[in-house]
Amino acid sequence: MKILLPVLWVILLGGCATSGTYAPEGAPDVNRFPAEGLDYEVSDSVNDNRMRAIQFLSKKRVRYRQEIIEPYTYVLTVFVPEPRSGSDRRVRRTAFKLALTENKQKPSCTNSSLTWIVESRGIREETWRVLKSDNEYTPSALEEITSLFTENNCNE
Amino acid sequence: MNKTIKSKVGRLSIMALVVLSGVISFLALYYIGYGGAISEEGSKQAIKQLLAIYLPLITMMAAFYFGEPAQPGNQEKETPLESFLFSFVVVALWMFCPPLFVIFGVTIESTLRTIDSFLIYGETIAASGVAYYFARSS
Repeated sequence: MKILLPVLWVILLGGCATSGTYAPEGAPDVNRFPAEGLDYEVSDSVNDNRMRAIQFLSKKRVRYRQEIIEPYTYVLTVFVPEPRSGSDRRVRRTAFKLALTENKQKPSCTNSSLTWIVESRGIREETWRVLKSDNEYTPSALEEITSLFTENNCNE
Repeated sequence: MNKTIKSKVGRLSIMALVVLSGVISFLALYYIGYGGAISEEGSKQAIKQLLAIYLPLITMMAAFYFGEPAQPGNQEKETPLESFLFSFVVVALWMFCPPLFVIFGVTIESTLRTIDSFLIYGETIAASGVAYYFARSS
């Protein structure tokens, strides 16, 4: 009995050390992004804008995936961690979707749409969730990414 | 001469152990989860899991404790100390685990997985300890 009880206890406690493993995650599926986004008319062709976006992301070392589902050309980023303030007990991450399509009215322009997903999880959680506060959160990189479109505005 | 313990003291000690473990578990859950460290959904799952540990034992003890007809001398009945210690240790073995799992688990999901994998065994051990002593001391 003297030996059995500590052994049983150690076996039971062994589970404490069990933790989840985190496989690297790719960019989210196109359909996961919300329909709401920001729309811009940018100069140059779809391909030019796609290359501009890719160069921008590569420069920032953000991994991305390209997908073509006619009539759209998508550039989808992986989730990027959001900056965390010291007292926060939740972490956030954001993925962006850039959708490019030809502008039929203005052949020298491209319609582009930017949308994003913000997810968060507690520091003691594995599961990323979209909470109400995440929907109201503005991604830290949004300004920088929108500059891609505002600097090449078709109307200017 | 064998050492003995009053049935009432023994029973209340085991009940106190279970209730205390439950209170510590819930406090630990609150402590690790405050400020959004565990979302509402995660907390709900954890609370359900913890209730699944404590409610059957508390119900079982309450059934024994309140289910017996009050007879004169029942409160003064003595049980062997060894029986009490055996039951106490067997129940404590499982009762120490949930608070420790909650505190030292890396994430609440891993804690729940761990609790889930041991729940049947732990509950069986603890329930047998409770049933053994409460039946013996009746």
